[in-house]
Amino acid sequence: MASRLYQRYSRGFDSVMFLVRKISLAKWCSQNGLAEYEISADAVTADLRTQGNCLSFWKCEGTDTEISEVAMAIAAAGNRVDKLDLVWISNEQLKAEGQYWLDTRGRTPVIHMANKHVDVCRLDYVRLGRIAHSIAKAIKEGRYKRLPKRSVLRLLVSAVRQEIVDIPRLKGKVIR
Amino acid sequence: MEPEGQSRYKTAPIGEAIRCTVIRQKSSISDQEKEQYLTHLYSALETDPIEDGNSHVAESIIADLLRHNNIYVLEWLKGICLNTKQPSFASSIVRCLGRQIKPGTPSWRADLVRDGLRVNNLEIRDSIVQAVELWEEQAILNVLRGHDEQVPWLRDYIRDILEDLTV
Repeated sequence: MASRLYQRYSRGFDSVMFLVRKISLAKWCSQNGLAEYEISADAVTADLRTQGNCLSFWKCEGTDTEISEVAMAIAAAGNRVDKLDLVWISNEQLKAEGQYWLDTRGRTPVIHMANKHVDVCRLDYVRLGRIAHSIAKAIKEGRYKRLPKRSVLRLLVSAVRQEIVDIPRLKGKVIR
Repeated sequence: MEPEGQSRYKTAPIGEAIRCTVIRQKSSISDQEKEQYLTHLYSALETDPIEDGNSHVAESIIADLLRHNNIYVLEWLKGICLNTKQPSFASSIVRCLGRQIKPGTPSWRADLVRDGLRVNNLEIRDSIVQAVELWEEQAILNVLRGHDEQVPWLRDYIRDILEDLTV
């Protein structure tokens, strides 16, 4: 039963793909009295807030271009422009951890990115901990990127010029 | 600062010395008000951590506090920002300040950045660098330029900001 559920949830991910999520890099790298191998609870509670026991991720093949597209999708969904920290973990890693994920429609004004969204779901205390561990490992292995504010702005401007963003859905200071 | 009530001499425009009494400027908010602001900030930030790309209610609390426009309030805020005993709260306050349009005075901002970059806490230093990025002030970029950051990704962020903002 568990393996049937897993196959139903993860259908569509045949090749190696990466799941990208926004984080606060400093929280994952600050020790604040913890040992180097320990994962900060602040990082988990700030960056891995679930809804319906699910966490939102964006799938990509891990190339610079695709990671920039994910950055565009995430930034366009906000209401202000700031620097952006992203981390990515492989679907192989998630499979090995026994995670479940579903293709779900992403909430972003970048139209073509809406179908690049997944929810990693059926998260409990243990599986959430594994996600945290995967993120910490990804950071140690260099699978993260920080885009300064101006880089994020350039992505948004590019999206508008290419007409790949639904402008009425841009909010607050992002539209300004 | 001279003690309250002490006399000092001051030169009048016509060159004649006149005697005047130092009156210590009073803080514009009481300890009780400070406590109330802190309570609101803790509550707001605990409920919902501040996140890049999204506004936060704590920004308006800080904006309200800054309306007091008083050096004592600014120095009190600076103390919170540099408090390594509560680095997450401190860095959240710095991030809120970074989202204000030029809070305080230019010298206060420069001092905050200078002192903040010396703090032995990565989260606080990161939020200080982000504040410099958001304020986009040429004078403060020199403070950033003079800092020797050891953490590689933060060093890269500083380099990127200096490249983006130096005219």
